[in-house]
Amino acid sequence: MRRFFSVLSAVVEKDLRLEWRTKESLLVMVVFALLVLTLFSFAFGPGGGSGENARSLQAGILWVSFLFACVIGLSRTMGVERESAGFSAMCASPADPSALYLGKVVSAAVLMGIMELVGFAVLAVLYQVDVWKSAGALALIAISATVGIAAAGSLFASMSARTRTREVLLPVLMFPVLVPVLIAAVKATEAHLGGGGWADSKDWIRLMLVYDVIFLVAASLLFEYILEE
Amino acid sequence: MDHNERRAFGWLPILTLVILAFAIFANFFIAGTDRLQGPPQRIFYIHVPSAWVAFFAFFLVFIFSIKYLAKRNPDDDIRAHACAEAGVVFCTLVLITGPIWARPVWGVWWTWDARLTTTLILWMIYVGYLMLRAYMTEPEQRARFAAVMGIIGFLNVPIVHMSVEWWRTLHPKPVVMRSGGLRDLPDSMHVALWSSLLAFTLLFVCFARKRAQIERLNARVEEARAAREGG
Amino acid sequence: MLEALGVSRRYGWRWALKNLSIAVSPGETLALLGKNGSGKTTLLKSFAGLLRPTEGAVHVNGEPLSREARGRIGLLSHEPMLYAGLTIRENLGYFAKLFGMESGEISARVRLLAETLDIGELLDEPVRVLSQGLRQRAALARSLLHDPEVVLLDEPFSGLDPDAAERLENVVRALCEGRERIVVFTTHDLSKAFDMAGKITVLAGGRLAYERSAENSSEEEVLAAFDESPGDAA
Repeated sequence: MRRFFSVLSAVVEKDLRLEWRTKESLLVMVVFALLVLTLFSFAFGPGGGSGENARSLQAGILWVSFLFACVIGLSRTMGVERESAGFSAMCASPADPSALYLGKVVSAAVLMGIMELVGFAVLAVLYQVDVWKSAGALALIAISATVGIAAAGSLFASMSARTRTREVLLPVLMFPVLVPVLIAAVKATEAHLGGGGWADSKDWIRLMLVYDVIFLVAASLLFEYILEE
Repeated sequence: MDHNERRAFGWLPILTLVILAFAIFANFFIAGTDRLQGPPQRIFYIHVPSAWVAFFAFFLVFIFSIKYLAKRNPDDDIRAHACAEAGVVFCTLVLITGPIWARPVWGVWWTWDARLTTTLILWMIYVGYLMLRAYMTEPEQRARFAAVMGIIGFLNVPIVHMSVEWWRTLHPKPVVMRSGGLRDLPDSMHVALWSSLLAFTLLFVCFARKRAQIERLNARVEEARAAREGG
Repeated sequence: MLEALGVSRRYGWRWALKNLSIAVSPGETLALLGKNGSGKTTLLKSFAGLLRPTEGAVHVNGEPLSREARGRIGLLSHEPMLYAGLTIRENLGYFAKLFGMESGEISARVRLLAETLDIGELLDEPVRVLSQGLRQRAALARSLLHDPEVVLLDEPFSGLDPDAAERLENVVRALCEGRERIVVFTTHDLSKAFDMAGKITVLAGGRLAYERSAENSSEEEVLAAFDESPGDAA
């Protein structure tokens, strides 16, 4: 068990350190998310319209932009792994593939988390949303959604990074599988932005947690088969 | 082996054709016209069996994928591939017949009905599966990656369905005419439905077998070509 | 004991290895020769567990290659398997943890390897800025990090200037002479093979075309085995 966490933390440390050096993924992710957020503002009018409908629109805009941004980030970090023959090195080591996979998930989730903080801040400014009012709930929603996205994303990115088309395939593989998370995150966020509160969001959060657990367990067991050459 | 296979299953396509012919006959001449929906309801006998076959096919992809990872027998990979491709064909059929049915009965082509939406997402997942295969060249790696996708994709089905169902119940529902379940179907409709179900299942088996056979031949051609170039 | 037992491996649509059996005992140094595409790299990767044989199996100490057994194997592959954005020390630290080493153990081991390979001053340089030869040395340090019983080297001397090659050669030679270690290396350089290895093998078309101790081998025979068509070596 100690071995497991030592490997997991080694992967996280390595990924975050690489990211800190180059800032290749995070910067692009944040800028891209901001871009999408503002683009939607142009498409739907300032503030995404008005009334109750606006809240659901904003929640949707927020999560779609996060999803797009994380495709870019994941392609980049897994691209680095491919260029450095990192998968082969992992495979040639005695380290538990589940620990390696969970390490990749954690580091992806950390990057996404930072991006989301910026995203929520921008949402608050551009769309006049009171994010503070329900910060706790939004954090819980963001965490449960982010784990799901990172779990699916890391698995599919490690596959698509090694296909002929590389990054192009990632959204095609990832988005359909992430539909439940997208729906749940948007619905739950909408509930808290609009003042619906826990009554409307708790089932969605539960759904995301179930998704997270199923996905993490299944993918941890399957990651071994991705590592081999 | 191919010879034996042909001998043993030569009757299958013929049987399928006969049952399919009967199913079509049953659809138009045995089953009565629906009181509420009229003739458009007959597409039900194509729509529902296609959906069943698609789910069945994706279940088989799941099973063969697990089997491949456990035993690493290339033939399981070929079977998974064949089932996925045939499954996508039937899934496409569901997505085409759904709107055709919906238009005259509900007045809209697409309703984001939970079952139809789940099918759409399923279709996307397995089109992704086929694209993943198409974009990979190294056969062993392709087989492994595809197997992972085949397992994850199927595990997602219940969650997708659940989330879409909840998503729909929180929205205003379009006016959906609910037929009163299978038990209320008259016998004539049962005959049409079940014969069609059997015919479609057999058709799927034929498709998948043929596809697997082609893929095996393909593998042999590629291997022979590689051997010639390599030697 | 490192064994390939009837290993066949399909790579692309080709059979890169065809029913190949070979055994290397502790203390033995094996040179793998052969043309490009004869299956040398595939065999090394199968030994390292990077590739699973399509048929047959790789055994380490009489048991099928398990995940734990990979901790006793060190691989120097064509790709350096180092992250260009990290320093040598960071790279080594990361891989040491994957191999389950303790922090105290790691720093001592890194210091020792850096000394042997003469990369002590470069430990805190990012791999990105290193020359080909230095990168190869850093990669060798990575593969020797966990003091493996089995060392697999895929063309360790290619692409190096004579100086760097000689330095690396001395390190590898020391490895071979050290305790009961198994060293398997591939090369195109016949003289190096004869010089360093105890046993010479030649792969042709994914099969073992030649296998004999270095003393009993002659260059002519070895060269003849290079061209053996796959059909001849049954």
